[in-house]
Amino acid sequence: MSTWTNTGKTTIFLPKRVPTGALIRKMVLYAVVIVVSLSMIVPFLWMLSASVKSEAEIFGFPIQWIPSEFFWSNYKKVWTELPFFTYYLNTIKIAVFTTLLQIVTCSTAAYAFAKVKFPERDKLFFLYVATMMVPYQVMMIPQFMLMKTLGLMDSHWALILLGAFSPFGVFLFRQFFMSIPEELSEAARIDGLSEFGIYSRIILPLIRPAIASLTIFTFMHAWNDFLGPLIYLNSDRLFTLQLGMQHFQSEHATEYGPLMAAAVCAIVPTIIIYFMAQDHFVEGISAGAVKG
Amino acid sequence: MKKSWHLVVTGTLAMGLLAGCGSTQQTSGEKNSASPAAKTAQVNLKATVLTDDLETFKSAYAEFSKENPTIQVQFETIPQAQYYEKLRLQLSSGEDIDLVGGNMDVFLDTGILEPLDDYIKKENIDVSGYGPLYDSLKVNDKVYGLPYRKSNWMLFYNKTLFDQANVAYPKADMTWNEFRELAKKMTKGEGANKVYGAFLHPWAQTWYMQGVQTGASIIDKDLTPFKKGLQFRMDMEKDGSIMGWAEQITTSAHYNSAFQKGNVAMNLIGDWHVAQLRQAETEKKISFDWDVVPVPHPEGVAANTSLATPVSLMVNKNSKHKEEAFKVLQFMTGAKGAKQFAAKGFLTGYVNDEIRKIYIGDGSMKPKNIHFFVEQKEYPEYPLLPGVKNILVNNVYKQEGEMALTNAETVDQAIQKIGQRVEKEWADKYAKDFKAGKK
Amino acid sequence: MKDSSRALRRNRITGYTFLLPNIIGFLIFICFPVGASFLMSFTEWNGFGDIEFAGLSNYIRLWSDETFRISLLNSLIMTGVSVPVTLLLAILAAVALNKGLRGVKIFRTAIFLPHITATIAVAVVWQLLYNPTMGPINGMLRSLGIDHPPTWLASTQWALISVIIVSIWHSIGYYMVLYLAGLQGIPKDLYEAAEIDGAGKVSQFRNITLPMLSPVIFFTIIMGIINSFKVFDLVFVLTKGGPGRSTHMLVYDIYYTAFQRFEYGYASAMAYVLFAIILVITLIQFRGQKRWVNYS
Repeated sequence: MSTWTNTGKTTIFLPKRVPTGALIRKMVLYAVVIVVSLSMIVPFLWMLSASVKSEAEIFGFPIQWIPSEFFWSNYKKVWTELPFFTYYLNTIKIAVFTTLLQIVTCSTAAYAFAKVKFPERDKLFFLYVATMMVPYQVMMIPQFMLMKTLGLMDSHWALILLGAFSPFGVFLFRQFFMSIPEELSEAARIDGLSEFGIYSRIILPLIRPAIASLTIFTFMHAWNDFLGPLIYLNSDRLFTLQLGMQHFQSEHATEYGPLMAAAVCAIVPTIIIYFMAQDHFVEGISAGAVKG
Repeated sequence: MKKSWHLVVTGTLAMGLLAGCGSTQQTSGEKNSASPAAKTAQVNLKATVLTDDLETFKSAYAEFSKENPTIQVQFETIPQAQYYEKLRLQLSSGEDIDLVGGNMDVFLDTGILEPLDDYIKKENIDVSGYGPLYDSLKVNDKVYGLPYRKSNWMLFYNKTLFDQANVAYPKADMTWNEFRELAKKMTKGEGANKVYGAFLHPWAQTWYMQGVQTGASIIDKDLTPFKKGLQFRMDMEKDGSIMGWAEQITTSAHYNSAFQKGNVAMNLIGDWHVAQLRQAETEKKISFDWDVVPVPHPEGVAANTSLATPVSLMVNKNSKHKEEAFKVLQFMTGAKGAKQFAAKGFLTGYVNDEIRKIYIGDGSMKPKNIHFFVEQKEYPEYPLLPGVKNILVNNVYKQEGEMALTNAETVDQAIQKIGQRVEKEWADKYAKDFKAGKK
Repeated sequence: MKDSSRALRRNRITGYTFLLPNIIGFLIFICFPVGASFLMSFTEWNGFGDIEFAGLSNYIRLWSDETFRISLLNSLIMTGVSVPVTLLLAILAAVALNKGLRGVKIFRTAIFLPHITATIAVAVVWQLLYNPTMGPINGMLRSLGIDHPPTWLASTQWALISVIIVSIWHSIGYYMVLYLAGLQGIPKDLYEAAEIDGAGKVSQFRNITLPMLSPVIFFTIIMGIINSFKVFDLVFVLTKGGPGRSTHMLVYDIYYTAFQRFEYGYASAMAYVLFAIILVITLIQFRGQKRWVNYS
């Protein structure tokens, strides 16, 4: 709701100064936002339209947005030729576990880095940041050997564990924690709250927008990851959506129609989750709490 | 509280949607688990093969296990794009994979390929069925794998377009220059209605094959034969009879959809295109008639000279059951396996009259002149040498070829650069080991 | 003295207790592989047989590796151009969408959409937009009187800039999400007070929004640079590094070296040169942050 009250306030202030100017500004803003949004949607629309096209029509030029004939068989292929439902469940399992673990471990670690003063803190933190600079392609081989030694090959745990301790999440939370005034935790300490109490009752509720952001990023990343599942999973019954989709690609041919249909099926849940979760990073903080 | 409630709703909705979306089918995942007959002397083998070949291997294995009930083979595959990447990772971490399928050059540097010469001698295998491929696949005089299938090039053409234009069909014996003239003749129209005389896929092979057809190798010191090929492709672009490289790149043009669209008269591509067109036909996605003729050849080279890319089966040196693994290899790459593969429309490494007949079929399926495929004189696409990975050399050809095709360099400059880079890439390091199977 | 050392000990215990759940996993699954790949950069290994110690030879070889030089340069250009532009546009988008427009949820979702759309769809559509003869971009340029517009992805001069444009377009939504979260942390009464003082929108943006957002901006700059140097998927689907090597990037080269050449040691050495570059840039950032990043 806060966004709407905000609008209310602006309209109260603006008419006193330049009413037409404000109107024009608003219209320009709308125009820009609409054009930008459209440009962002185009590839998605292409996916939708390609998912019901024949192979020959997909790459036709100029783009024929409405296919001359609808090949719903592409969708049928996805759901009948592949155990798509199993892929869904696997992907959900991995994404949910990774996200939950990451939120917990990253927020506690970030709390230590932002709110607790101990000598090795900054060096350790920089170590976290530094590891993000190494490209995944290079860590992949040692990680693979490690998972092999731990006996976690061909299991979802390999993927969950690799995703659960992300330095990215620690860094993200730490930045948000840093912007919360020290006075808040001091006051809580004087009130006799334990450190864990400060973390869970004062700080966490304040960074809800950051939690929502990390949830979205982690979830999407786990959902769309291809390389990880490719390396660690061998059995078809453990495959994720991104991996399962590869069934439509072979040495000499890619069946783009079914592939796009599968991609649409895979992407819809993530859009819905994003659409609904976005409220959390907008409605997060009530202004009063941070007055400091 | 309101927020957490909202989250719960979001989650439930999402789950509900998924469940609703997919409640109908959930069985097909569990079907394929084999039920091993519990015998004591049983040997369990694992084989990783290319996605395209998995089904055929499984059905061929059904035949094999009738003769060899004690050998159980579990066939697995890896998504195409990362096949070699992951397979090598698995092998290097010591995973028990007994048999490996794929292009042999990728594994030459690993040292895990079991030399097969002794087995071949012991079993007294008749290798004449592989033709000259048998020798050209040798590396430093040793056999590390046998081809169960191969990819060869052919010229596909749209008969309907030729009929409409009232032009005679392409000849079986045609030089590249004749091909160029024919393509010019078939090119018509503008914009969306344009008919292209031919389609040359943006791969470097479509031009460097002209050099390979003369018997030259892509790592030769003298690359003059390849210069002609690159120049030829650029000339055809200038004629307007093929889609330009830039156009292809920016429209994601693909030989399969381009030819199926029906506005390409001749398509230079491999035997696998047959299966693609047959499939399109059964799905009623194409309505024109089509056939094949041999690829055009350079002046002075015999007709129906093509390049072949063999795909082999290899035995892991670290396998605990090499004898049994070789038995499987022998079956799959020999006459019995070849029958299975030929029946599925694959060109096989091992060929005899019977297999030829199976491949050609009873004439009920297109293309009518499919027999050309089994009558080819073939050069391997690339030489098999330790240290030479085809994909690397190919990449040099691709990159420098593009410099010429985008007019950033002349053809001479591009070919010279290819020479320099190939030398640096390979010859500097490995020339002393050079002893190819190629004549 | 006693007191402060006791406080120190207590803080240390608190600190490590909070760190514990993360740091165990971090050390095992991230730190250890990173260290292992560092050691690997001094060896020669193709995944099989013995790992041979190679001293600095991998690093020396980089000097004469033309493809690596080209890739490094391309990556530097890419980062130098795309990071500032992306972040600026993302802030503007976040501020604009924070104004309570009607249908704001749809706009926000739309701008985030490229990030989750299949990259192959992104590639195909952009290739069509960039089409030299029939594409809308060149159509527009021609109508503006430019007779010979660039051939974009099919030109060795323009391909890199084309990829940069797509990458900017692709990542705005990602950073926008972070800025939106950051904007929420700014108390509304700060704006109200400024409004009463008669401060204009621009000065409000400069004096309230930017400083209050600075911890998040700092984060996005660091991440933006890291992500930009590590870009891979987009290049792979758009150009495969071509035409020629005009869009060959560092991570593309690393991937190629590790998984097509199978020279793990050499690929690791490349990665550590990349690491060193990002590290220096990041260190400078961390040194400089005191001057502009406003932690409450």
